[in-house]
Amino acid sequence: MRSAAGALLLSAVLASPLAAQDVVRLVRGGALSGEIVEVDDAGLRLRISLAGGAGSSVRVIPAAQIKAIDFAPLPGEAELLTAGEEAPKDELTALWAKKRKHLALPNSNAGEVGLQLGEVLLNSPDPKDHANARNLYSIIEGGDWEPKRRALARRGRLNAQVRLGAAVDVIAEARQIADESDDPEILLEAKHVLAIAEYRKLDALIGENPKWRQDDLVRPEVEALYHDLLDRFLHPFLFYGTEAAAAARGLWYAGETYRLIGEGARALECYTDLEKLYPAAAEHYGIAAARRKISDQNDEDTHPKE
Amino acid sequence: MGLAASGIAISGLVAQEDPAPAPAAGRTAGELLGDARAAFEAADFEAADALFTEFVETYRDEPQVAAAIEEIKVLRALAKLRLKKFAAALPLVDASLADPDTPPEVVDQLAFWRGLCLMQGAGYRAAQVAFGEFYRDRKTRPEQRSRCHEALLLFAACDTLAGRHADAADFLSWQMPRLRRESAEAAARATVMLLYSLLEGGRLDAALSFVLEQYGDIASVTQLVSFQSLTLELGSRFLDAGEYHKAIACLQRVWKRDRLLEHQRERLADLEAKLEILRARGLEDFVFQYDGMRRRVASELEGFVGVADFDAALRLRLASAFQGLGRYREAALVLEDMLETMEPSETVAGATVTLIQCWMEVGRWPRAVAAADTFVERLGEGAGAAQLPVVSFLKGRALHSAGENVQALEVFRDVYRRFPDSPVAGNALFMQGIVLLALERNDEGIALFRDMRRELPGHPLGDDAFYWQGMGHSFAGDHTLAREHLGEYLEAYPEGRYRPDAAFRRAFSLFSLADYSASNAELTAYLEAYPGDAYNDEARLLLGDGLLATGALDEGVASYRAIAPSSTRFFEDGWFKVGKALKLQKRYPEMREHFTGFVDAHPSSRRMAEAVYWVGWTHGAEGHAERARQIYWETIGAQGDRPALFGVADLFDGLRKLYGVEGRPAYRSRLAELARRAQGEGLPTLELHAQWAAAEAWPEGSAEARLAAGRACELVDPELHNPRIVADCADGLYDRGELEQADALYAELRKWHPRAPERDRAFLGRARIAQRLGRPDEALALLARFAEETPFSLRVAEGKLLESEVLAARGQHEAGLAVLADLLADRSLSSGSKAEALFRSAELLAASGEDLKATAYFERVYVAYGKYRGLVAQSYLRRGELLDKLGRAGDAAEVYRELVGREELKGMAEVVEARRRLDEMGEGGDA
Repeated sequence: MRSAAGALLLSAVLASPLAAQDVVRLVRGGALSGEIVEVDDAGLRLRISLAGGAGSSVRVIPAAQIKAIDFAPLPGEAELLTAGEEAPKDELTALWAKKRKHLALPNSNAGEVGLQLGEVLLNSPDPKDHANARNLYSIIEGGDWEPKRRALARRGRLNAQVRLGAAVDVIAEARQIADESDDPEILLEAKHVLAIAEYRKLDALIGENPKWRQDDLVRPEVEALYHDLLDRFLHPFLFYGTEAAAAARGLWYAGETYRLIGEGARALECYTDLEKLYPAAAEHYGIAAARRKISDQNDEDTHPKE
Repeated sequence: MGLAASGIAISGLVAQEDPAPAPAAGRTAGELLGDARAAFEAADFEAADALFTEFVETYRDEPQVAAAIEEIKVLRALAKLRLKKFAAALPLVDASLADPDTPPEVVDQLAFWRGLCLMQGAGYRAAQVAFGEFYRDRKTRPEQRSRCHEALLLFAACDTLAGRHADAADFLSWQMPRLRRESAEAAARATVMLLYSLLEGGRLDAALSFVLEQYGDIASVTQLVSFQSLTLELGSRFLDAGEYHKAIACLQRVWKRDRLLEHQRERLADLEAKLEILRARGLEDFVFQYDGMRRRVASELEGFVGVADFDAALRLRLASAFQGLGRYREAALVLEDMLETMEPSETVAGATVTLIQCWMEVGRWPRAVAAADTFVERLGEGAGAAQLPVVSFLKGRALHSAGENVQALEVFRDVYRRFPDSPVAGNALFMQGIVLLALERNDEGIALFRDMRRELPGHPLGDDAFYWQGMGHSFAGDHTLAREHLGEYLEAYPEGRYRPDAAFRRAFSLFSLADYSASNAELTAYLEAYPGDAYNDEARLLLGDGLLATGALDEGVASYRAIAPSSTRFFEDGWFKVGKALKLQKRYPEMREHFTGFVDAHPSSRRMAEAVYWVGWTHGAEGHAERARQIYWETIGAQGDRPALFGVADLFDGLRKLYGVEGRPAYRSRLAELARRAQGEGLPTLELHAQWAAAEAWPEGSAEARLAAGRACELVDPELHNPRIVADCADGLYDRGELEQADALYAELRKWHPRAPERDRAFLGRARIAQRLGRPDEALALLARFAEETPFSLRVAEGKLLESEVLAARGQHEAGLAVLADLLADRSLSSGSKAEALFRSAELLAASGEDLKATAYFERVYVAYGKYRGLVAQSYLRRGELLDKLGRAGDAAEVYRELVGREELKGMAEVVEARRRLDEMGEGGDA
């Protein structure tokens, strides 16, 4: 989402007669604006307009003198970036292709373009796009100059792997992220991967032991797993409430965990929370169907079949 | 703005034709004015204002200076405005605006500043008029776009300052779309102002809607800290109003302090970087806006850094909201997280107590204990010292609830010892007694309650201590003392909480002492005095027993009949005792009707078959044996297709006994007919019952038995059917060599009936199968589960024998021998199992090379366990073999001869083999 500052900058850029200018910020301070005609590991060549319209000159700036480069936006770039997830995939792909070579250069926004493209690809129903997203995120993760974008790319890559059905591969990495990362978004994603793995264990354990409540050996294991899972699933809701997708997802799975264990009333509380606190996200979850299942289960408990 | 641009020329300030005014001390008017101008140009507004003022004050009455004074009013106004002397500036501003010669660009500025002056002077309405006019004319001043937006914001601020929050909110809501279109920066400021106005105006729901709307785009809120602080306040208001979901909606959208600081610091750095770019590109207007944003963010950060308890305030409120909803798990998680990261304080101490209580509400005793331990470690000697007794006491309660009574006792003792003056000291002492009773240390419990009553007279738990001391006597079986003590209790506590319990327990004591006349009277008195009490039904059962014991059969029956069906155990006991009473009175038709009524009303009872047995018995007692059998068939026909009625299997046991050995063919015939009918009518469970019973009724191993068992296996559903039948079917599959199917069925038995007694058969069966399929590790694991889950199984010997077999097969002879030795040490072991254990021990010894020792074991088998012909014969033969191997051919021959001579073993293969060996040894003639 655009910040006020970001929107202002865009409008500044669009409104400015100097919009086509690249700005090279120097290590010693100050900045030069012009048109970058060539850039490589050694440095860059910048065409600077001379005063009074007296033509231009090309200045060579060695890499050691360059602190950062603010590239002028390419034609159509601003509109594509503003469009977010609605940006056309092909155009965004083309933009990424042009920008990619500057990925490692501060302050290139190539990584931002790549991340946006990754999001568009992940939203696609085509698994090939998910695979492409995974590869794209890997490139950004390995090459972007900005640490935060590298972290976002890692999260995107994990998401893509889960989407491609490689959740088992993700778990070890998710554990590492959970131990090391401070980034809340990637942390939540990693923890969710781990929690889902445990949820499947609980589901399997209950499936194998349908009468677990009567089973003195299995019951402690089920209860320990269940409590642990609820802690995990409720964590985003309680501590990262603004991460609506993660929080809503956690509430949903907390409700499902309660339902799995036969605590229908508690499950309904979670669904109610989901509807009241995250109404937009709640539409993606089958709450009505879950409520019916609980109602049916209650009927069965009251009037067991013979 | 320079004087040249303003069109004011110093040279024209003093009229030339007039004589020059007399100079003030030290400086002429011109000099004074010149100095003032210079100061203004140099932006030294303090000096400029002072000089302008001096000039005016000094030469106010000089006509030749009047024009100059008039002309400099703009400069004076601007200087005062720069110095924030708004009240003094206002008349000058008004005069300047009224002057048609004032340059337009100055008029533009002053028109805006006029509003500010009025605002500063609390002339809010007038200020709004000024700002409104300024904004109205915005199209004439396109270069002052940002100032126009500023005017809008200040217009709203006037309402706020005047306490007209609703007006401010309405205005800002109306203008917000425009601001978002025209100035993201102004819109960001308006966002915070709007939320504030909604909050102060009491429009909380509107404020919540706004907050939720904004959180979709929270990055656009420049002054995020202010917005979040207001959100926290909004959450608090909802919390106070009991609107917990709304409170949560606000509170869980507020970030932690560190995250806010980090975010805003990053924003600040980002703004500074962008400023650099904008300056490099020469975009001055945007530089101005960005700089404004940067200043506001920096100022906000500076203020927020000093707010130390932001997180605590947030978390406590969030936890309170969840508590309000009865969501103690969520409240506990929030509090636990808060306490981990916060420095010790009284707030933290109080919150920890709440945390422990929340964990206890959801039954997470280990977490409650852990929280208490953390409290002691971090706060016990500092900020939490005052609450240490309560926390320790709660820890004890949690341990007690978790069944950790030994630890709980230690904790309660520690609380009482260390904090004798604390409000919880008495509670801790009392709980020691309760825990001691739970540990069945009744004497200690009794002594403790007695000590408590002595040491803490008048304690609120004195009632409880008195009562439980009496219960301690009762648990210890000292009924006389229990009765006496509880009598004292009733006297001492006429309004006591335990009066009904004490009255019942006194009567119970009499009953336990077999003083039935007295117990009958007291039980009757108790029932009259305390109708509806929890012990009523138990009392009715005891009363019935007591009345019967004193010969009052009808009264006894009446008492049994009065037991409520909801007290299942007592109700059924009572029913069967009524039947027994009827039997004693030889009232067989009534007895029959009585038990038939039980079968009809309670077919799912575990005692259903017993009731049918009694119905049948009445027929037998009246000489109608066939009618007795018929009752069983009728019940089976009516209830036999209901999988949940496990008692149906017991009916077949009873029926088989009724038919006896002679009637077996008729029994089998009826079963076959039942099976056919059930199959034809699509009654699978009834057919299962019939086939299962038929498999039992035919001789073991016969074709008919195998056929019936096979059909039963096809019909059985381990999820639904009686685990006994499931186990029998699995055994049948095993006997037929269908090992995988048998294993699956045993596994299903355990899965669907985790408490069934038959699970011992499941474990043993699976272990046997694992052994046969060459999976000894699995076999041993299953046997370990067998020992763990069914330690009181009647098949313990079977399990150990199998275990020794598995170990022996793996060459672990010593381990196998140890298992057998352990088995042989069991005094309750049956003789058959002992014989088997001895025999296998002998084999293991032999396998280990201890042949001589083995011979002794073989000898024990055939000397002491003669009735086990197979083992006896094998033992003889094996002993002979070993003696022969040891070079004691003579002894070996003697053993063979003895075997051959055992008449009861005649014809056995071992005997034939013994003869053959004797022949080989040339000893055949002696046999």
